[in-house]
Amino acid sequence: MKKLVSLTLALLLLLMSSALASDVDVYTNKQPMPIAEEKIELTMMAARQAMHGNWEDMWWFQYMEDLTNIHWNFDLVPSDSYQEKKNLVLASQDLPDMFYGGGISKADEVTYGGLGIFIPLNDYLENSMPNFKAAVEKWPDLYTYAITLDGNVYSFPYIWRSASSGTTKYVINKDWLDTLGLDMPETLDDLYNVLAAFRDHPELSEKGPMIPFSGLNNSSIQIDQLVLSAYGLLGGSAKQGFTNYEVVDGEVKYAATLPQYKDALTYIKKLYDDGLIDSEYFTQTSEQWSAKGANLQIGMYNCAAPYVVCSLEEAASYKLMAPLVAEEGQEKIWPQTSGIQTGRAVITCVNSYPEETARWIDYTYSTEGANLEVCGPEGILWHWVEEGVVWVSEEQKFKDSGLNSWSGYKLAYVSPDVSPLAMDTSLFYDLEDYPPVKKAWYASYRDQLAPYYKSFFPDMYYTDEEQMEISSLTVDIESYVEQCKAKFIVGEMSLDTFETDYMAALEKMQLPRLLELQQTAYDRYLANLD
Amino acid sequence: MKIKNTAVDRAFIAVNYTLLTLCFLLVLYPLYYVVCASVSDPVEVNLGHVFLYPRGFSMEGYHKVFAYQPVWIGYRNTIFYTVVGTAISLAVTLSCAYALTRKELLGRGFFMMVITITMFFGGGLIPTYLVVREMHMINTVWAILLLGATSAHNIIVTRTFMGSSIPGEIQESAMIDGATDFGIFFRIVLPLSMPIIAVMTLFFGVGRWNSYFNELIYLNDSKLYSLQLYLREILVRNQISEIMSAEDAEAAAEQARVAEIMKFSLIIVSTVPIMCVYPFLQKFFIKGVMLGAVKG
Amino acid sequence: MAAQLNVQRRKRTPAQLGKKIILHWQLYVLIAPALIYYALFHYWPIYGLQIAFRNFVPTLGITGSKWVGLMHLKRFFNSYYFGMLVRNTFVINLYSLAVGFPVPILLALMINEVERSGYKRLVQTVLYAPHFISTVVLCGMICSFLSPSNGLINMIIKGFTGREPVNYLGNPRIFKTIYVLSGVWQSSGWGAIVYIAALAGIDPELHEAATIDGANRLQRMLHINLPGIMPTITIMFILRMGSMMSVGFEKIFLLQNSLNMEASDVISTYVYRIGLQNAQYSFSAAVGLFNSVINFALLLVFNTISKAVGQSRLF
Repeated sequence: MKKLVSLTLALLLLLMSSALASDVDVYTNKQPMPIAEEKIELTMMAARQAMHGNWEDMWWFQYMEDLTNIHWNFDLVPSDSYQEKKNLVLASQDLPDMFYGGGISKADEVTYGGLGIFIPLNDYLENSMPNFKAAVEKWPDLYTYAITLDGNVYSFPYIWRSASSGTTKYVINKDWLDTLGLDMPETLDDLYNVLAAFRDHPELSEKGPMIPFSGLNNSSIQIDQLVLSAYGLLGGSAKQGFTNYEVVDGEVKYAATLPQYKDALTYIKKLYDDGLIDSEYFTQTSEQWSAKGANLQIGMYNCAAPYVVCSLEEAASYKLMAPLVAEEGQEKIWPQTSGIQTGRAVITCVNSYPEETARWIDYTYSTEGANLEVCGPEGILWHWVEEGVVWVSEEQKFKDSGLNSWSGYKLAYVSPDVSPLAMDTSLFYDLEDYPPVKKAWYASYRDQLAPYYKSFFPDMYYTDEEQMEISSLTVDIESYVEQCKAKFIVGEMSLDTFETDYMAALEKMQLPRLLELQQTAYDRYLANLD
Repeated sequence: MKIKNTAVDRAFIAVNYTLLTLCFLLVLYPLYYVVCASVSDPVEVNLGHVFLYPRGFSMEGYHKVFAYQPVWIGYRNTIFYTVVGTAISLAVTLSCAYALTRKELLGRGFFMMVITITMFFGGGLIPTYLVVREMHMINTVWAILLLGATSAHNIIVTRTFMGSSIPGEIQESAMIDGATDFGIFFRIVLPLSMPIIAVMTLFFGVGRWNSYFNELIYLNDSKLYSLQLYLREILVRNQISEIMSAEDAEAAAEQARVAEIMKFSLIIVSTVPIMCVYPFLQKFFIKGVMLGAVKG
Repeated sequence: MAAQLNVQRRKRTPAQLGKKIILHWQLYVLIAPALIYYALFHYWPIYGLQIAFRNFVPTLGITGSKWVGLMHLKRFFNSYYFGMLVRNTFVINLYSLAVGFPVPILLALMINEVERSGYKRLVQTVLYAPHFISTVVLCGMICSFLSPSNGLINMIIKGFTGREPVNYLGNPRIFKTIYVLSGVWQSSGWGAIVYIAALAGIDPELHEAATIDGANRLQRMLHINLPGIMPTITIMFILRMGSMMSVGFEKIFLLQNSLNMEASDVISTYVYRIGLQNAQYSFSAAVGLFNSVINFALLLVFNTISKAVGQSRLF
């Protein structure tokens, strides 16, 4: 504990000195500081993730308090009970001044904004938040994305748009490819041949049985998006973080009913029948999957980064796959989320200093504030260079703390990293002491995925009635589609019934009505953008 | 008086022992697996390599559990909640159950109905929370101690036991001798109910030991947190979504690794105390002695 | 004995009633703590039942939220999967009952016959230990043991019969068996405790008398022990009937996957998925109420049956 306090003081001192030492003009904050003449005390309620340390001891909040003269009292709730606690707080009217760090859904914004529990922020965004205005000039949809149905904005939006986030990445074992003399696959046929080659050379997997592709159908580790994109679809894999809807010429369609989807299923079924997909794909637990990954038994899978699945040295064998195509000459596409989120912070009606609160949030919309909030104090874990930001060598800093990763250390002691902000960190991970495997990793998707990014069916606001109907229809339809997908692949349902029984069942579940509702919302969304 | 066994009896006993031992082994193996897993490398466990002995032996799981500071605060609080809470629960449940066995209690059927209904119908979390708030018990130990004061299920089981295994004659003769209701309860019924008291101590004790939901909702001060609450924090991890940035995924994966290492050892650490309590309670499952003494 | 008291009861007058209450005031004192507890923490909040019939918004309070009547229930009934959900919930419970109800009783009877107290304690402790294994770990073990690539079960079967590994968890026809048998494994030892206590409540003089009459152990077990704990068995059965519409969420959720969903999807997991879409407090309250009504009705039915056949009853 003492160590922590002294560390914090050391960091603060270093920050002040390094502020003078930097020769790059990225101190872009336009919000005048301090925000309050006399110290203000406010309360915030937030969800505490398992990895977070004690928020009161974190560097970020102490830094902000010194800078802005606003003191925050924390009401922290374990993240898995946040929704219950939030409801209880709303029911008992013991409201905090601000809900912070997420957990406020779009439906909540519509409901509670409409009731006046969350106050409209339009005024403050226009007049009191110069950093926000600067960010909006760079990313106009940051503002429009957060406008709810009545024209008001109730939550501070968040954007982090870079090559490195908002999408899933597939990796393949390059060492095995090299041993077999094969190239990185470009088409689906290539992929089939490569996986079959893996299957036929089980000796490549030294520590356990060879599995060409393994995943967890129940989760986001699926083969779906790789194949769907090859057939030109951006939707159909909501479980992987994307969407189940596809917009075709302005019309909202359900991806799982399109002919390309059937083609994708046919291809996946072929892989499954020929033993190229793990027989436990549909039934294993995530622990079983990660054990296989750590044991280097898998030829291809998707992940956030291969060094999350196996060690840093072993991760060098796994290289990023560029999007595939079904036939040569097709355009490559890859979905990426818009990077914009809402609901990261809302101001409640009991807050006596709403403008000051808005100004406090405004700091993280500047490059300076965003970087400090996400990375911690400058000069310790990172420093500015001409192109942007760079990580200082991470390894030795954290051994004492018992944590192995920079992020783990940051979340325990430095900052919870849940603030609304605006950031573009494409240039984050260059140069110097950053571990080469990680550098190569970031470079790889800047080069191989980023050129093909396309945005897909957006996250939108609905009225209460729409929301209720959509929820119940969606649950049934998604259940059915998921079950049928598994059955098609495994062979329990014949793909010949795709156009007949399968579509008929979806009709019965009122898929047309669901599409109608989504179309209304989508048209409304497009109108808002203008 | 020791009852002698005939030949038929001996055959019966042999069959009995065989069947029981079979069940014993069937149950024992998975438990043994848990013990092996708690000292094994989690990757080996998840690959399915652990069968009869640990693989990748390491006591790291236990080290991490005990090094985790809040565990000790949690232990202290949980012991408090369990001991005091069980005492309260026993007092409320046993007296209520006894009163319900007496035909002289006017409205007995009505009270039974009132209690049984609560097993099915309730206001839900929000109204209950508002009531607790009204009583100023939020963030106090009373919310935990009083909210688990009794359960309809346990009242019913206790009442059944008291009604069926305590002969009416004993109570009758005591009443004729001028004993009060309190007297009958404390001097006759309770001693004869030792088996069910032992069972209820176990039921309420284990329930309190394992509970976490009320603590989660009603306690804000981490100094009051129970053991289970701290343990859940370690084990409940964030979903790693492949769409996350690599740093977020790294942090989450690290946390998941720690949780995996601790998973099995946590079970052992948090259940061994309770399992040690049971042998003491087993002593009370012999009622015959009591009955004889009371009759005399 | 009881006759005297019964005769008195039939000739009640208000005055006599009053006298009766005062005479036995101590009984009312004994029951008071429990009643106060229920009044405060169960009946005071019970107005919350209405949430099932409203569009509950926490800040509006319960009476301030819009009344919608049976809308939520209608949505539930109209779901494409409604029939399947109810059927799965019911069948899983019936199956659990058929297999899982007798086992603790048999265990208790068998343990009771053991004379060596060391062995008795060991067996009891091991048998109830699984109760303490958390659901998450239990499901992890199930997935591990049933794994087609290296699970224990498949390896044993392959060793004995040479049959190829089967993906048990991917087969909807086997799901309920897996669920029920693992439940029996986990809870039988614990469930036996009540019956062991009840057996301890049987007068040993009955056993002595029977032995003198020439009965052997088996006969004594069937004719003294079993009837002796019949009140407990009956009550436990009635109580069990009162949870026929409830299947715990966590274990199903962890064992469920796209291949076995048609056998494994139950009401609680469905409500959870609706909640994921948009935290719908009222909807889950409505479904919960529906479940409770059916559960309660079943309890009353079986209570009446029990009363009719002369066995113990709740009221």
